[in-house]
Amino acid sequence: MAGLPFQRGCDVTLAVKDGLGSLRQFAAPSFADLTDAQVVQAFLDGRERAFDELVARYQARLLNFIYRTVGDRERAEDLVQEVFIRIYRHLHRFDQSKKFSTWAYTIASNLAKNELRNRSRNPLVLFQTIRRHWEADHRPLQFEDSSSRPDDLFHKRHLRELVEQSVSRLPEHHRVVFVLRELEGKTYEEIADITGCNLGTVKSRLNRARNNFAAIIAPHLD
Amino acid sequence: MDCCEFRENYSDYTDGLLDPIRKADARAHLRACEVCRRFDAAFRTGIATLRSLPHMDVSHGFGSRLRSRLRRELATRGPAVAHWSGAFGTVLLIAAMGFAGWDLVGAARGRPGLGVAHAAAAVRRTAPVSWRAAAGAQVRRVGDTLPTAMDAFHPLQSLLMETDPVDPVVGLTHQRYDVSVVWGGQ
Repeated sequence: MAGLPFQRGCDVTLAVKDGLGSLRQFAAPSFADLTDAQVVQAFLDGRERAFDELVARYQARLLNFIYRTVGDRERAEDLVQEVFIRIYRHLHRFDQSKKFSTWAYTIASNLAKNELRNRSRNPLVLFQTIRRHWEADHRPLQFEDSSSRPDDLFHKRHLRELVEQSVSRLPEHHRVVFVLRELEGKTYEEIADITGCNLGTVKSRLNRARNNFAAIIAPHLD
Repeated sequence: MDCCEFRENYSDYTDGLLDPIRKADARAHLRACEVCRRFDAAFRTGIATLRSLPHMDVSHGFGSRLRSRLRRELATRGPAVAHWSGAFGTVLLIAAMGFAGWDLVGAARGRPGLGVAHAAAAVRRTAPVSWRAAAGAQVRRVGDTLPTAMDAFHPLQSLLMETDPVDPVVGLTHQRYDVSVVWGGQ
């Protein structure tokens, strides 16, 4: 394992003697210049640091995706760790004809869904929800834009909270599809791969999620 | 198009997936229906707000926590790549040692030796170039004459290095060089 923290790229040179005995230096390509598939292959070839690159590329994206799905930052970070552990454990079984990002999001999506299911069976969820809202209410004020009028700032903040709550109020299977489409910019086909649903189901869930989202927000915007 | 139909097709409308006629119908309905217009405006405002929310990054200790978990993972199971390459290397090593023993015994009994060095060199050619470079060896092109001074010890030693599952990341693993290794600066 390389030193902390997870970093992109890795500049290495290899000295090779050619047939005439003269030394030739080759610069190994930095991981940052490689595609996901090439980085995966490098890891499978035994270059452990290639995994650092995968972590650097996906940690924030997966964190945001899981956070928007489960609504709890601390837990989301734990789940992102679990995603990378599973990737590390099973990368040799990954079908390299598929996109790595789709596979990573599939693992993340399954973990997020499990988390939501466990919560629905666990009364602790109520406490966690209350605590999260309490924390939001007691968060220090952030001075977002001093040029805006106070009522504008209030309106913006209110809108943000409203939007976050609207997402969290969507049913779980709608929420995953909604977040993947609206925040992660995934195509319908990618969402179908990630969620294991067919295209028709993805379209139908997305339409319902969008309708619900708009219906929750609309009365507050008048 | 009525309100119900508009909502049913709202996702396709938003993503621009409606055919031109349906799209024109949807637009006409939006112009005529204030409720659906407010609905559409609410959706677009909501999505714009959602996308403007600050993106979060992992916390400060995330990397070290993940690293220690991966270390534990490596200690208990090891990554599949190391596991398989290690197992493969071990099989090769045992085969080479058996062959060397058989060759040396045969040579002691007067049978002509088959050349441990050449057999081991053939095995070495299958190893990734990064491993060979990790062993600190000189690298020559395939086809160069192998040194005749290579005795039974050196190839086995280099095989031991090659089966080490820890790749210190020397690079160029993607570029397969046709090389063979001459161990120990011979």
